[in-house]
Amino acid sequence: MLGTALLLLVALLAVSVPVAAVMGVLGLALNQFFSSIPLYLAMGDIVWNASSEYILIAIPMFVMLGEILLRSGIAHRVYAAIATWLSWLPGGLMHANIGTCAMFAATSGSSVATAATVGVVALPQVKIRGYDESLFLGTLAAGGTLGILIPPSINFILYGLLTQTSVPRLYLAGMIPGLLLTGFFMAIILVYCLVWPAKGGTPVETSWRDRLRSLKDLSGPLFIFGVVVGSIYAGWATPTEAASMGVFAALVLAAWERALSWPMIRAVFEGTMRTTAMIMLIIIAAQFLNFVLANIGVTDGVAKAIDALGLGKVGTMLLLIVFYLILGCFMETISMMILTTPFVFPIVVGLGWDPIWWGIVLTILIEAALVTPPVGLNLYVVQSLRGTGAIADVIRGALPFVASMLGLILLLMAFPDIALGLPRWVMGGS
Amino acid sequence: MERLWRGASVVALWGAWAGGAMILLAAVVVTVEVISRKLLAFAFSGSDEIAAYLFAVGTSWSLAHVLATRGHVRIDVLYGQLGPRVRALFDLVAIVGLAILVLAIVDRAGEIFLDNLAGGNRSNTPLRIPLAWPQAPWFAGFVLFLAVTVLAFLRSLLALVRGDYGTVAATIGVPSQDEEVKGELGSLGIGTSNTTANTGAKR
Amino acid sequence: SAQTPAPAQLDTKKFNVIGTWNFLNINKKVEAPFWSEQLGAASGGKLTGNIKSITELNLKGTEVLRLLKTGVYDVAHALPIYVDDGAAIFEGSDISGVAQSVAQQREILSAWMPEMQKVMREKFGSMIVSTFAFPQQVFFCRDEISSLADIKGKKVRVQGVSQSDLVKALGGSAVTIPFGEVVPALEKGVVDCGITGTLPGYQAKWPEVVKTVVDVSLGYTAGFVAVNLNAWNKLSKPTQEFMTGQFKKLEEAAWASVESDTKEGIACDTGNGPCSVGPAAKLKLVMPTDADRALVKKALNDVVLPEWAKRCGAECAAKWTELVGKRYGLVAKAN
Ligand code: NA
Ligand code: NA
Repeated sequence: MLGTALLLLVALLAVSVPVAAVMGVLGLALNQFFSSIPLYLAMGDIVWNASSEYILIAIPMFVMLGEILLRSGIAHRVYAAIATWLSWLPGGLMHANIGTCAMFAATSGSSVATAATVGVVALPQVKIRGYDESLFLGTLAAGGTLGILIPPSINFILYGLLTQTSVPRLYLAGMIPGLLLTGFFMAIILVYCLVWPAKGGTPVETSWRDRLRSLKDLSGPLFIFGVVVGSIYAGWATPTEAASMGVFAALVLAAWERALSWPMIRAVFEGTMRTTAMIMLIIIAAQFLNFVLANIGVTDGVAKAIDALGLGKVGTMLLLIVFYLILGCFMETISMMILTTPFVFPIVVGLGWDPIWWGIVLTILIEAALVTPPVGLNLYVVQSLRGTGAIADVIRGALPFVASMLGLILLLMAFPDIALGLPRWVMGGS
Repeated sequence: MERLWRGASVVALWGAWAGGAMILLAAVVVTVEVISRKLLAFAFSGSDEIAAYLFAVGTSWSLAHVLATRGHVRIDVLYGQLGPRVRALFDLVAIVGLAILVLAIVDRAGEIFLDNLAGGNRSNTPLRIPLAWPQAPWFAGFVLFLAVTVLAFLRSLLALVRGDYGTVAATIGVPSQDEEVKGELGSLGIGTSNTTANTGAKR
Repeated sequence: SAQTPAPAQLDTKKFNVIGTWNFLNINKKVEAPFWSEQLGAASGGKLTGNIKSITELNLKGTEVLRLLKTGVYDVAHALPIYVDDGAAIFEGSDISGVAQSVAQQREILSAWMPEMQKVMREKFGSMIVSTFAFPQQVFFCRDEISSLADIKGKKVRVQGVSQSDLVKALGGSAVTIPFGEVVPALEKGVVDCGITGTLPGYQAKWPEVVKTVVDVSLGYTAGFVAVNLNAWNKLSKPTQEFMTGQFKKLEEAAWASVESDTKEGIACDTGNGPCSVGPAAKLKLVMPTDADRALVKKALNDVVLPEWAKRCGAECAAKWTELVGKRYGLVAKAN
């Protein structure tokens, strides 16, 4: 039965049936052939539940928040501000790319939006200052992935919902790994540019006066971060409410910037709903598929099969990491998370790994999936912003950063407190 | 057929605009509750429920637009290697797969909507909203989605019979990576040429 | 059970069953063992159950009775709060604050049973065959408080309508927040108090973020086991008799578990007594006083019951007063 399910899944994906339809059709087929229960009849309730799940409302909220911010014109100024602080380092503006990505990550729950925002501002500098193009592109594709590790994060909210873990804890747990990864990315640039100074381009001249003057340009993102993340820890709002307040705050900011107009708002609506509806159809179909899989016993079966391998705590974890790296080459990230979590989470927790810790590791694996070919959305985003040349340049440039993500995962395996220390310190308990 | 398709695309776009407006409204409602809870003596409650209904309806009204703009994610590892004719066949298989899912959803969503309407069932929350109210527009969104799916299928099928692979691709094909990202960025208000990069900067 | 049918007379049937949440004792210790082991053992392997918890199926609960009605499942372990409508009638079985002991809650359920059976038959094509409940509902508060009067002015996370009315009657404001967000909300002071069962509160780690537990009964969340009538009617007479006996046993086991979980819950929350499910927390325990009980009773008669009577209708309210209320000096009547 598991074999048939897998075969059908691969076949439908191979003929490029939409991912949501693959899950739905697979669910219907498995129900038809392997279940004595008319599970199809439950579909209406499942669809309504997923559609009206309050916690999922964070998805459109973060997408809309990003859309509004993008159009309020602060991206250029933030980039310029961060550049004045970081561009003296060997590698120049590439550090600003990473720094700006981290800054936008702190306001945005999405990685694609982060890469797109920073990419569009940064790319003209490649030619002007003579950077190594491949590495420069890599910093943008990889830097963008920080969007889901540094809070706020759509992935954490979804993971919290799927596994009944605390989103504020996940947010806190993501912070230090997020900053560490930012540091790793910069270290990679530093090492490359020290070994091959030509990759680093012409240095950028700045003064302390510029630096201090630029600080006010960072106030916009800090304000949003304060609303979306600060309000949770200040006891004002739950993570879902905070995401909604972020939209409100972004709207206020956009009004302040005099960036509001009807065409702009219509475009925000369209962009938000295109992404939201696409993700939601996948979630709806995945919920039905998961319902069928649980009922016909596949979910238990997979857990038992992996258990039977007897690889132990570390061995199984390494196997899972390899599994996600391979899956991540081919799969869209949200579906990857929803489809695998019901199987994988019980295994991971059963082995004694911490649920919050796994949420962080899984998110880093999803970051890797965003920049591994052939299906890696951030690669495409950067390539398209660039307009010319081969996508291989972007892929090559992003690879060293993927290596650092794996490094971070191994580090987290050895020292789980890198993730778990902060939430324990702030919130107490486990 | 062409007029019908264009008309459907316009309706779908309006659906997405309305959907976006509902999400924004949800954000405002939730924000008002949070602020009232913090600043006022009383907590006005129930924004979570209202926001959830706005979310459900806003999403279902936007599904057709995603289809009309070829936004439902498809894996194109194999597809990318094929010629236009085989691609067109893949596209038709894909839309049939989607149609099966949407048909099933319409069937079952319709059943629970009618059940709640007939029973006069209310939500089991302090607001006690009759469930048929949010479910009627929610269901309508899926019906629109089904209609556009069927139209897309028919338009592609007719084109395939004529040997017009271009129209099949333009209706239900996988957007090339370039097209896809341009669409994504276009919707973010970002031009894809380096020199005209524009995030709507002011000042 | 003097004439329990012998296994040879029984049909062969595997029941598809939907249970409650798999992290709760009622599921782990009562439902799951009953369907996956005890029933098979008692029937010589002829009658078995395939039980899935709503946790495993990722359902909310509100869809369970429709799934029972449409025949997706043969048997459901359900809560009155699952019922979307006819809801007011089902609410009558566990109105917040009415039952002051496990025995009272069981008594209320059986007194009110005929009304619920009517709804089950007409709206859901099903029949209730057994009852249970969850451990006593109590306030958990992040501040140290000393009596129920201190709820005044506090923001309290509630579930369901009558709990909301009770909190309002006590002078607090009722807030609805998804269960998964309650712990951080309590921790950060988004809400001041929350209401849940004594042991479920411990298991959901509420004691990590609150200081006080108030052992004044706010009632119990009732539960019932219902079987789809189509499925039931297909069973032979001896099988039906056998199952009726088994459901009785299930019910006894369930109520014994409610009693012990309520006690153990308080022990786990406060350290007053043995806690087998983990290290006991050290919450301040507020014991009920006559003043507290009087406060609840006043809240019931002034607000909670009149509000419920509005939802249920005059006839239903009068019936409730006759069957349930008058045992406890309570009257349900719309103002
Ligand atoms: Na983020
Ligand atoms: Na990938």
